[in-house]
Amino acid sequence: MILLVDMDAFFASVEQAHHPHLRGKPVIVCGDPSRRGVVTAASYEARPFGVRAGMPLAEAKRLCPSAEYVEGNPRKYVEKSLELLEMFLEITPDVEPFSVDEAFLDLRRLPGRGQTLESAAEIARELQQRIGDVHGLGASIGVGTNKLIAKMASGVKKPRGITAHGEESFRGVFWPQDVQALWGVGPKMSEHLKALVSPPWARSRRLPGRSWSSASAWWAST
Amino acid sequence: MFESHNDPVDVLTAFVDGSMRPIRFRWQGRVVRVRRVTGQWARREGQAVLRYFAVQGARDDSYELCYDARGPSWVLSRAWTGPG
Repeated sequence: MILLVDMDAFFASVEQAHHPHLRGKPVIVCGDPSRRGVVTAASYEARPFGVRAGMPLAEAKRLCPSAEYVEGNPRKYVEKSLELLEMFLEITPDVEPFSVDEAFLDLRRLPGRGQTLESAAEIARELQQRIGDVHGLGASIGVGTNKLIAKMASGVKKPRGITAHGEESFRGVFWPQDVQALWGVGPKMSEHLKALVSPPWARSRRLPGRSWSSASAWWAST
Repeated sequence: MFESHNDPVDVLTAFVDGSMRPIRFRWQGRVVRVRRVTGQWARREGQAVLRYFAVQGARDDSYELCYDARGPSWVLSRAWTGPG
């Protein structure tokens, strides 16, 4: 089994862990707050206000003027990311960092544990607890039979969620969704895939849902 | 809100079991007692390694201190001393 550990609102959560007065409050990590720029990360408390990463800072300030605006510190986040990787390596030697706040853990070579969804989900629960206890951070973990499933499962329940899918349940949950819900498929690829599985007369912007599912299935099987 | 600073500070430091920990520091004419170290990280600058500490004061105040072994010296890089 594979785990994908996705740290919840990582940059904002590190600031909340380091500075207790920020906990439970909307926190927006950005460049110099006194200058124009964009939101780098928003804590979960800031998200109900509509604040999202990548949004212009001026818009974020209009939506959530009471938030704490914190200048980001990339070195600090990289350091915390490395500490987390050390923790992951205590579980399995097969750790693949995917980004500063995500990593795959391959449990397939572990002796006796992690070979079933239930056992892997148990390891995920222990890890999630440890991340909270040691670092004061939240993580959502996807469990799957391969990296695609683990990655997509990690986004199902956030923050601090654990979602496990075998191939059968993965199909049940994700195939009915738009092909763009698939990991790695953006708007342009989505259009290409929809065109591939649609007859010429249906290649318009309004495609039947069935074609979208077919495109998802085709993409997932490659 | 957080304020960025680059103020040299005198820091009383404890070295215990191979690790260091700021105990109290003098900043803007007052002494701040460190109630808790809430985070640590490092940044490489050439051959030197700058060590950062996020610390909490006796009230709700929060700071970031940086130790540079080349001096050796301490700098207060960020402070949050209350809302507003």
